[in-house]
Amino acid sequence: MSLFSAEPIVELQNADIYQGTRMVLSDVSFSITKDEFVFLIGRTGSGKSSLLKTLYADLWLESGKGQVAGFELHQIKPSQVPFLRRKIGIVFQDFQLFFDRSVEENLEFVLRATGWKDSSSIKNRISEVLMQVGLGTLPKKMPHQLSGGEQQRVVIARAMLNEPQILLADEPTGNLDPEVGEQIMEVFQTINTAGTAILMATHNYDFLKKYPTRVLKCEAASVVEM
Amino acid sequence: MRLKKKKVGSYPNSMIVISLTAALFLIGFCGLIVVQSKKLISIIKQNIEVRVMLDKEMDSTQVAKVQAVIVKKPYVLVLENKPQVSFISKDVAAKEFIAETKEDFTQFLGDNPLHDSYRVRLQEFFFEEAKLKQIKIDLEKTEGVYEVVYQENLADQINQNLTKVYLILATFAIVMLVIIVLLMNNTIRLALYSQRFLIRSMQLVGATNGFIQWPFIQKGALQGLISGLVASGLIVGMLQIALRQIEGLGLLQDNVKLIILLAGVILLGILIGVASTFQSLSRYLKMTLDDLY
Repeated sequence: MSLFSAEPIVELQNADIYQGTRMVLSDVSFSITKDEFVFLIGRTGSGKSSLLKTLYADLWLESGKGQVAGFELHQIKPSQVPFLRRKIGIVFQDFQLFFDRSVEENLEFVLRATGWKDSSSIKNRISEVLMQVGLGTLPKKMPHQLSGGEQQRVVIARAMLNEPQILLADEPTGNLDPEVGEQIMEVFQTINTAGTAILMATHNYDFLKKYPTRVLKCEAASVVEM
Repeated sequence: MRLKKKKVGSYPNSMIVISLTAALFLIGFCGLIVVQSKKLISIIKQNIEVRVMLDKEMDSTQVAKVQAVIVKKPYVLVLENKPQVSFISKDVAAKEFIAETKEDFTQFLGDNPLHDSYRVRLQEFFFEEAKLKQIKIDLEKTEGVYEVVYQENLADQINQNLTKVYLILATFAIVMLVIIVLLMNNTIRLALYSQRFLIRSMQLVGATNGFIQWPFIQKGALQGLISGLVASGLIVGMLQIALRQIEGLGLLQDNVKLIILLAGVILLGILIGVASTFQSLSRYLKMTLDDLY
């Protein structure tokens, strides 16, 4: 699929989302195209995380059809899952940095784990993503030497390493104060403007007012457009 | 202070290496007993003789005729192109008997009732009661043969006891293997649990299972190799001590078989290390991230 095509990057059709044996969302249908910024809202336990987990194939799509970055979720094989995940970036609260290695080493670890071998390419890519999130001067710092906002920027940089078509973010500002949270939102806006789609689960309704865009809401076991 | 970097696949070595070494040493020891006992049995079997008693009053031509028939039999052991058949005259037999019993029977019998005989050593293959019976029947058909005697039931008793010993050793080795596989499985499960954040991150960024498994597999192979080498060293050391302490044990040594055994122990170590690591990892990598937590 070309990056410039109008084909959706994410598409679900009549999908039922299960957490274990319990169905948490039913008959979910929506699509997200390139350049789109979509908020995913809903109360705690409404199925936001399960929906995101299904999109990156940590939960299997057992009913309905789904497609993410060219991979068919309803018929994806376990061996294909790593390659799906290289096409999407994941930013989670619990998707933590390794505190035993520097920012640069955290990012290098990810690149090596996803098949990068050439050291100079790795170095260049790390510089690019750190610049993208505004952390160009901090590659040698250890995570504990960074503020919460800076740590989250590193997490976003890490998600951007393999040039994903879409970023899936689950409460990326949940642990940050409003001012820093706003800065992180700006980073996401910049990334989105550069052409990466974003699906962000959030409880921060101020963002919805400040950055008016498409909103999906998990409510009463279904996903509705707001 | 900078924390020590936690490497993927790193977990405490010592417990695994010590246990695997112990298991391999015991398995190797069992193997050594099998190799040595086979050699011992082979020597015993080749030294057991069938005695072919000849008719009395035979002249030397008739005796030679009987020998000519015996040496052509397919079951006679041939060493360095010489059939292992030896003639024992009745006088020599009497002397041997007197030496064994310390009683001169010729004094009260007034005559030597023994027969001239041939002592025939057999090939190892025929060391079974049924085959020995056939050989006895076959030899007794020969003209000039009065009787064929051998120690009945000895062959079957030795064979039965050997089977029991091998069975016990095999059971012991299998139990050791099961224990070490379970132990490695458990240790790797703990290692995976302690590295679940690292593994979770690798999975979420798109690392393949092969990439995640490789450091563990490498480590498993290295542990197996080290354990195999140490166990082999212990076996050789123990054998050297035994050779110095036990007279005649040197006769049972077969260096080619010993080298094969030691190579087998090392290969088995690597195989166990890799296979049990792979088996444990495959199971845990199939779990969803929630299950792993």
